[in-house]
Amino acid sequence: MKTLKLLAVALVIGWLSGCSSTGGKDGVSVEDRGTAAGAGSEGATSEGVSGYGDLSIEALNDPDSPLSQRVIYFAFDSSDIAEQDRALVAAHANFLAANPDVVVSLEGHTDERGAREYNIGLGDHRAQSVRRMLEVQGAAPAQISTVSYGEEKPAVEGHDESAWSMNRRVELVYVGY
Amino acid sequence: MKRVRSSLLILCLCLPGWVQAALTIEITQGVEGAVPIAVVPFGGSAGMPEDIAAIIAADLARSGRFEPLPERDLIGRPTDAGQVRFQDWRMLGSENLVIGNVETLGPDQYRIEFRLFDIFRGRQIAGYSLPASRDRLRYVAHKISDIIYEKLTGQPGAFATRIAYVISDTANGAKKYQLQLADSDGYNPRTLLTSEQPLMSPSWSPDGRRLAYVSFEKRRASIFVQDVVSGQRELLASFEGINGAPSWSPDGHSMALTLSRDGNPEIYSLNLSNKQLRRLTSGPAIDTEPVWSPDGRSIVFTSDRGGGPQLYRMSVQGGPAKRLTFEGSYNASADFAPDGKSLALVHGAGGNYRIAVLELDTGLLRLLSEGPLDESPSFAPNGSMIIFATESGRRGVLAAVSSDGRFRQRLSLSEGNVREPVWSPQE
Amino acid sequence: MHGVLLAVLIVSLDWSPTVKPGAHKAAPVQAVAVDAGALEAEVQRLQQLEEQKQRAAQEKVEALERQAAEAERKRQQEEQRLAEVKRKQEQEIKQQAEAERKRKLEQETRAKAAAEQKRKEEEAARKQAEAEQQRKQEEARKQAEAEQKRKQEEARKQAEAEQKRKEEEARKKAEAAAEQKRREEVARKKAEEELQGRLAAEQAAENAQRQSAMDRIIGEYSGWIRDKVARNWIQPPGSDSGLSCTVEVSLIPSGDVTNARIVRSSGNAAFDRSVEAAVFRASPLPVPRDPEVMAQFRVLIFEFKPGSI
Repeated sequence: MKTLKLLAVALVIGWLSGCSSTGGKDGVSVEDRGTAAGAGSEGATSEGVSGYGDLSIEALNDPDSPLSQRVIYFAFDSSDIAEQDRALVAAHANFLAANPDVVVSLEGHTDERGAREYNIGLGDHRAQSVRRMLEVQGAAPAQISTVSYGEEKPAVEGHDESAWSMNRRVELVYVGY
Repeated sequence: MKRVRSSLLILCLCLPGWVQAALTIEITQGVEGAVPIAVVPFGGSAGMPEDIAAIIAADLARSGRFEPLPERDLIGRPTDAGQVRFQDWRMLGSENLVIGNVETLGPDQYRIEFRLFDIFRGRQIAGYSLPASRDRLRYVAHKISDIIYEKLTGQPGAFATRIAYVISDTANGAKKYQLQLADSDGYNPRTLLTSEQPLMSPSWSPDGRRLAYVSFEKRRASIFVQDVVSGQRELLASFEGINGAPSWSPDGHSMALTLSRDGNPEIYSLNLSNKQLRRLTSGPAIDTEPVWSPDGRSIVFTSDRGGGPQLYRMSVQGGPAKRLTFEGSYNASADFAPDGKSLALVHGAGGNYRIAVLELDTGLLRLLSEGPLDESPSFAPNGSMIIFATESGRRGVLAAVSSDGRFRQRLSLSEGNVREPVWSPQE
Repeated sequence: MHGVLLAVLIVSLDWSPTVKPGAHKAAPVQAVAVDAGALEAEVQRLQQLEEQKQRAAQEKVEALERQAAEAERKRQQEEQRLAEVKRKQEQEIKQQAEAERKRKLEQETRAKAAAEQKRKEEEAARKQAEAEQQRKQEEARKQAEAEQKRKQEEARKQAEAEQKRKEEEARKKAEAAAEQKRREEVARKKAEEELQGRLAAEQAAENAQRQSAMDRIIGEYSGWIRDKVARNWIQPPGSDSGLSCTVEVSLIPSGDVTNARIVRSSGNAAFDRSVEAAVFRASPLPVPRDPEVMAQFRVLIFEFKPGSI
C-alpha cells in the first residue's frame, strides 16, 4: 500500500518534471505522456517518467499498478475523500481519461450501524464523491456509474470498529475487467 | 354546634350522587405493573396440535399489560363455568380468569369455546364459541387474545396480526435473502420471495394485502409491490440511482419513496394510479425514509441537512421542513404510532443505537430498548407494542417492547439474520 | 498385834458386790471434749440460773402473799369503813328524826298560839271585814262592771286587733311563704339549670374528647386503608393524564369488601376496572374494632386521582 502511494507521488513528481521538460505546458494531454512512459513504472525516477506509469489497459491487471488498489475508505457518517486517497483517485481518473471506452462502476458501502435506507443514501454520497473527483480529474461522466448498497454487502462481517472501518468504502469495479 | 352539623349534612345531601356524608379517601398513586390474569389450560387439549391457552397467555404477556399466573400456581383446571369457585381464585390476587374447552368436530375441525371472568365480581365478562380448522388454530387463539385484551383494556388487541421481515443467510458460501411473513408472535413463517441479492424496506399497504419492498435483483435497488396472497409482483420504481424506502399513504393512493435520479437522495411522492412523480425535498443533504402521518397530511423523514441524521416533518406537498429531534447525534427510521401522536425511532448516542419513542406535542424522548445495535422499529396497529430488530449473540433477531417500555420479549423465529420487521395493519 | 492388822485388812476390803463383767453392757459413751473451765462456768451459770429461778419463784410467791395480805387488809378496811358509814347514817337519821320531832312540836305550839291569835283577830276583823266587804262589794261591783265593760271593750278591741293582726300576720305569712316559695322555686330552677348546664358542658366536653379521639382513629385507619388500596392498585399505562374515578365501597365489620360501585366513571373503561380491582384486591381493609367507630367505615368513598398532589 505504502509503496504504491510513494510510487504514485513519485509518478506525479515525475510527471510534473516531465511536464516542464517538454516545454512547460501544464495539463499536457495524457496521450503524449502515455507513449513516452515506457513499461515498468516501478521506482521513483525524477525525470523522464510520465508520473502515472502505464495507463494502458494492461495496467488494470498489473498488480504493481496503482490501479490495482480499487477501494477507498471513509470515516464514519462521512463521504469526504481522505487526503491520502486523492492520488489514488487521480490515478484512476487519469486511467479512465486515457481509456475512454473503459467504464467503471462505483459501489458505495457503509458499516452496519444506523438505518439501512439512510446508509443507502450515505453509500450513494460516497460514490458520488468519488465520481465527482474522477470527473474533475478527467474521467468522462459516461464512463462512471454509481450504485449504493448501503450496509447490505459488508466486506468484513463483525460488530466492532476493525470490521466497520473495512466496510465504509467505495469500490471501483471496472466492468469487464 | 348542632346547627353547623345539620347544615353540613344538608350541604352534603345537595351534592350530586351523594346519599350521605361518607368517609372519603383519596388515592393519588398506584403501582406500575402488569395486571395478574389466570389462563387455565383449555379442556380437550390433549393431543391437540396447538396449546390454545398457552398462545393466549403468551400474547397477553407480550403486550406488557398482563401477567399470566404460572401454571403451577393455578388452583384448579375448570373448563366449565359451573366448575369455577370464585372465592378460591380471589385468593390468588388475580383479577380475571380465562377458561375454555376445545371440541373436536372431525378430522382437523375444531370448535373452541372460552369464557372470561371477573373474579372479584364473580361474573362472566365474555364468552364465545369459535370454529377453527387445524391450520387456523393459532389464528383463532390470537383472535381470542384480541377479544380478551379489548374487554379488559378498552383498546383493540393486535395479536391476530402479522409481521413481514427480511431474513438473510449464508448457505454453501452463497448469500440468500428471503422476504417472510409470520404471525405477530413469530410463528407460522411463510416465504414470499427468495433472492441472492439483498432485499430491504418492506412496507405494508393500508389494506394489508400487499407489500412494497426494495430488491437488488437487477444489481441495483428497485421497488416492487407484491400481493401477499397471490404472490403477484409489480415493478414500481427502477429509476437511475437509488430507489428506496417505499411508504404507502394512508389512503393507499400514493407511495412516498427515495430517489436519487436528480443526483442526490430526495423524497418523492408517486401517484399509484397515474405513476406521476412529485419531488418533495431538495438540497445536498441525504433525505430519505419518508413515513406518512395517519391523517395523511404530513410526512416525517430522515435528513442530515443539519449535520447528522435527524427527523424532520413537512407537509405532503413538500416545502419547508420542521426539525423534530434534538437529542443525540443520530435519529432516524421513524414510524408513526396509529394515533399519530408519537413516533418510534432509532436513537443513536455515544455509539449506542436504541429504540425510542418521541411524543410529538411535548418533544419528550423516551428510550425503550438497550441497544447497542437496535433498528427498524414498527408500531403494532393498536399502538400498544413496538417490534424491532436487534442483535443476540452474533445473530440478528426480532424483539417486541410494550410502548411504555415496561415489557420486552424476544421473538422466536427461524435461523438466519432477521431484520426490518413491519407490522401489518389491523385485519 | 497380828490379829489387829488382819482385822484392819478385812475391814479395808471392799465388801460391795463386785460387778461381774458381762452382766450388763453399758451404752457406749460418746466422748466429748470438755473444757474444764467452761464446764465449771456452765455449771455455775446453770446454778445461777437455778438460783435465779428459785429466787424469782420465791419472790413471786412472796409478792402474791403480799398482795393477798394487802387485799385482806383492804377488805378489812372497807368493811370497817362501811360499818362506820352505816353507823353515821343511823346516827344522822336519829338526829333528823329528833329534830323533826322537835320542829313539829314547835310548830304545833306555834300553830296553836297562832290559831288563837288568829281567832281573835279574825273575830275583830270579821266584823270590820263585813262592813268593808259590803262597801267593797259595792265598789267592786261597780268597778267590776266598769272593768268588765272596759275589759270587754278592750277584749273586743284586742280581739279585733288581734284578729286583724292575726289576719295581717297570716296574710304576711302567706305572702312571705309564697315569696319564699317563689324564690325557692327560682333558686331551684336556677340550681337545676346550672346543674343541667354543667352536665351538658361535661357531656359536651366528653363528646368533644371522644370525637377528637374518634377523629384521630378515623384518620389513622383512613391512612392505612389508603395505603393498602394504593399498594394494590395497578395503574393502567398512560393514566397520569387527568383521569379520575370515584368508587363507593361497602364493607362489613370484618373489613371485607362486599360491593364496589362506580359513582363517577373516569370515562376510560380500563381505568374504572383497575380501581375496582384495587379495592377488591385490598380486601379485607383494615378497620377499627369499636362498633361505633367502625360504623363510619361501613360505606367508603374512594377518589382515584393519579398525579394530583
